[in-house]
Amino acid sequence: MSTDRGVGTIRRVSDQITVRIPASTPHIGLIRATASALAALLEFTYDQISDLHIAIDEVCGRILATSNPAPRQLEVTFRVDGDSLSVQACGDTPMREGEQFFTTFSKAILDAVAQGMQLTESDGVVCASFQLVKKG
Amino acid sequence: MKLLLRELRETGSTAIRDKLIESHLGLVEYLARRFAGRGEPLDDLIQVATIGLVKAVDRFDPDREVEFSTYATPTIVGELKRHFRDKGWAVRVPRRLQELNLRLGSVVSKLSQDLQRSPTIGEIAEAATTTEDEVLQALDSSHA
Repeated sequence: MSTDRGVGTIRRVSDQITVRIPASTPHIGLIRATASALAALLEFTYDQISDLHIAIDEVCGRILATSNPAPRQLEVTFRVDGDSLSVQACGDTPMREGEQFFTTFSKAILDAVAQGMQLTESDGVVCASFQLVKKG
Repeated sequence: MKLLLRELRETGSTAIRDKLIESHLGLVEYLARRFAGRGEPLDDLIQVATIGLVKAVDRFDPDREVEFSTYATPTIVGELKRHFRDKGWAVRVPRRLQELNLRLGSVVSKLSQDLQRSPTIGEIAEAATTTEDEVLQALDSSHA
């Protein structure tokens, strides 16, 4: 494996990256891996990458838990804008009627580790998005 | 609450520290229960989560514009996740990565102290004389 993977040399990654996975817990690891590789390119710290993992787990977990019928796919889009990394996660089925997307727990976690948490619904499909801004 | 935290920072009083810890044991239990049912006894998880709380009490800066519970939650969750990383291994992780992960734990602690901030992946790789890819693999496997 190369040691020169560009970490620290890329200051601005303008690409938008979209990852689509089968909607199951084991596959969420692929999203975490993509997120940490991107965050490392942006020189996010170890703690921030851990926060990113926690936020992704929570958001993807809530989509799986609140969708009805169960989603077939999860689509996660990463956008880089300067020192900020935006993440949007969408299922492909609507949220269960009367369901709250955020529990007290998930809200507490997400408020603590990420910024700009937003929930949008279009054509019955719920997308959750948040941002992490590089510190220091 | 912030007054107590400020007083703790100024006086270092163990009585105030104990009071702060005791008053947040509900949060500890709440978070520990979220990680129950993964093969670790709840009592152990509560102990691990309490260590996270103690760290949060000791590290919290009362001048920060966040509530203590907001600051403490990810610290406690992080401690619980580390516990599973070090002891639980929810999925099969290659021994090479398990060993690297354990080694990186101490590298990250030392770098955090030296730098007075969390290190980047590049800094961890350099200090651990490994590659950034390996560090990322170890980090990803620790959160599996």
